[in-house]
Amino acid sequence: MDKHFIIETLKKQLAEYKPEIEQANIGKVLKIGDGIASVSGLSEVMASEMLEFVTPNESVYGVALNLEENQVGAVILGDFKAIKEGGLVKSTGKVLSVPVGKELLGRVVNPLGQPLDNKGPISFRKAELYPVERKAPGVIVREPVTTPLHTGIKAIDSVIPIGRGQRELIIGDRQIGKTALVIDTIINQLQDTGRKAPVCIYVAIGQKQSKIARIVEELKSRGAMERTIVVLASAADAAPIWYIAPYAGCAMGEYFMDKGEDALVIYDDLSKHAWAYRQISLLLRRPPGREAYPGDIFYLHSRLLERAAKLNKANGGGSLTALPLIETQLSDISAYIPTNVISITDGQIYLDPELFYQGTRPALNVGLSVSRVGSSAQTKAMKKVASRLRLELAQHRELQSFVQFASELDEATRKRIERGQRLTEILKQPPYAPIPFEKQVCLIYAGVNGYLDSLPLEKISEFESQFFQYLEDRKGDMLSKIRETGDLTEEIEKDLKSAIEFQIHAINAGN
Amino acid sequence: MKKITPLQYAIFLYELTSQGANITKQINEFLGVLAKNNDLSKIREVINDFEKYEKRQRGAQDVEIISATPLAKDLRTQILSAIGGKIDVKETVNPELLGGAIVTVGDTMIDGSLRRKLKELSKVLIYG
Repeated sequence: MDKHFIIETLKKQLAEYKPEIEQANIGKVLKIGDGIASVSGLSEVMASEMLEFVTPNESVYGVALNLEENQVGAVILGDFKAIKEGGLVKSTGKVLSVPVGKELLGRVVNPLGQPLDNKGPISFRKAELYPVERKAPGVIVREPVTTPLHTGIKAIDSVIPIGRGQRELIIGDRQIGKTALVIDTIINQLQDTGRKAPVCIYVAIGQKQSKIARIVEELKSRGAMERTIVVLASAADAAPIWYIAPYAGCAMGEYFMDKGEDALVIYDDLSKHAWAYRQISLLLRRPPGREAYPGDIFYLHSRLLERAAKLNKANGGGSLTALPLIETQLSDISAYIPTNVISITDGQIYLDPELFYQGTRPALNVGLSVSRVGSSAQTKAMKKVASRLRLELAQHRELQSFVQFASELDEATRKRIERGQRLTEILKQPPYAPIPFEKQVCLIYAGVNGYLDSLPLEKISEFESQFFQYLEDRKGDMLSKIRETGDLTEEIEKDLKSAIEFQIHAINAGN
Repeated sequence: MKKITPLQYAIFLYELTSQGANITKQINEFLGVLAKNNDLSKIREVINDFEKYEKRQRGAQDVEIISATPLAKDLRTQILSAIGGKIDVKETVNPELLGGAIVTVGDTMIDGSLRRKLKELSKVLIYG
């Protein structure tokens, strides 16, 4: 590089700089501690406006939450230890915002949009800021959910389908596979080639950094990280950071929705978010209510989840799907926060510890799980097989208590129980192995039409893997037909039947 | 009984003292009232609120001027006349500003210091 070029560049940059006199509304720190500050002055501050706490080194930012007669209560997003009593506080005139854009894809950022992944600063081509707290889209710009969001999990895509723009709660005890479920969903978006893959935003609230490192590694190795943003508020971050994390992640998703694309936001998890908000509220001396949560804890989650939407064509047709997670204590789904979020969302997926220890994984309790809008988004092919699957599973559940007297039951009942057992068996699947929906359709078709009744239970998983291999090797065009049309025509059905019969025969011959 | 806020005490004190009678005696009585109500611990806030209230009653504004070098006389009068009204001025010299001045009027701060301009220039050069 020659020196003239450097000088020219510097000149150009200097030409852009116009020194201006800064005017700001100021205040003084009265009290500081626990990530909370009381500030005097600031007579013109807005609610949830960003505040700049001036410290000797770098300024620390905060948000004004409580506007009182003589003081302002603020939470601090950063290192509050650098702030001293009597320190200067400037109002910025801006509400809390995060940078949004395509440049965030593939990155791990904190809830303020700053990178945490050692890949250098994020250079935005056109810096756009979205406010963290944004009003949800109104009735006029929305339309019903019509496009499926395939998770790659057989039990969900068939029985509890999720549509783009839906809010589906995933609820269960700790260590039961909630996170594995959503990571599968992110990975599966690459396999679901029938429609444009959504941008995935994984918001980790109060999670262990080791867990996030593992997830990012997994996503990278699958090539899914390129369409994913990880927003991390780790267990070591302060409560205010946890508190804004889901809103920041949502704002990043809204950018893509406004551009007419699909986005999927995962909040992992909202119970920790509620704890963080409880801590902030108590420190700000807001009155505690039930379980010491503040009075607006319902609004905290409802205004967040209401921002998930499917926009109509006139508004770009984008969508934002929300998958909040809730961790229950001792599988108590009737506790305060779980019932709140259940009533806000369009359905829930309940993971049952009992099923988990029995070996049914994912431990989906089909009886307690529902999806209130997703079924209208299912493909025709899946609808055809899933309605029968749902019925058979329901009947099996009713008869389950008789399983131990199987030998004394009449023929029809025994058959029903056996069919149910096989269907339960085909819905099992290991973590991080999502299955494209066209293969799911083929397998469930085999199950509900009784082809598997002749196979012993322990052979089912063997059949599944060989069957999928066979379909891939020999019936690639049939799979792509199902994927593209989303329907099971008579012709495809005939083809599928012969494939299943062939495979059953092969398995039986192997014995 | 409902608690008396520091501001209420301050207004009470202001009205007592503005009558201009024996101030020492009235302040003694006022402290007696505070002690009786168990509110002596609030004295600091009461004094703060009193100062603010008294200023508001006078229609005066707090002005703080921090400059890099001592202000020239005509510049000082220029600044003060630009603000206008009744003014309580506090002047300090802080060479760390390098040049220019920071003027604070009530809750508003006007920062025209060279230090801040240089800081902003460095931002432009780094992130341009």
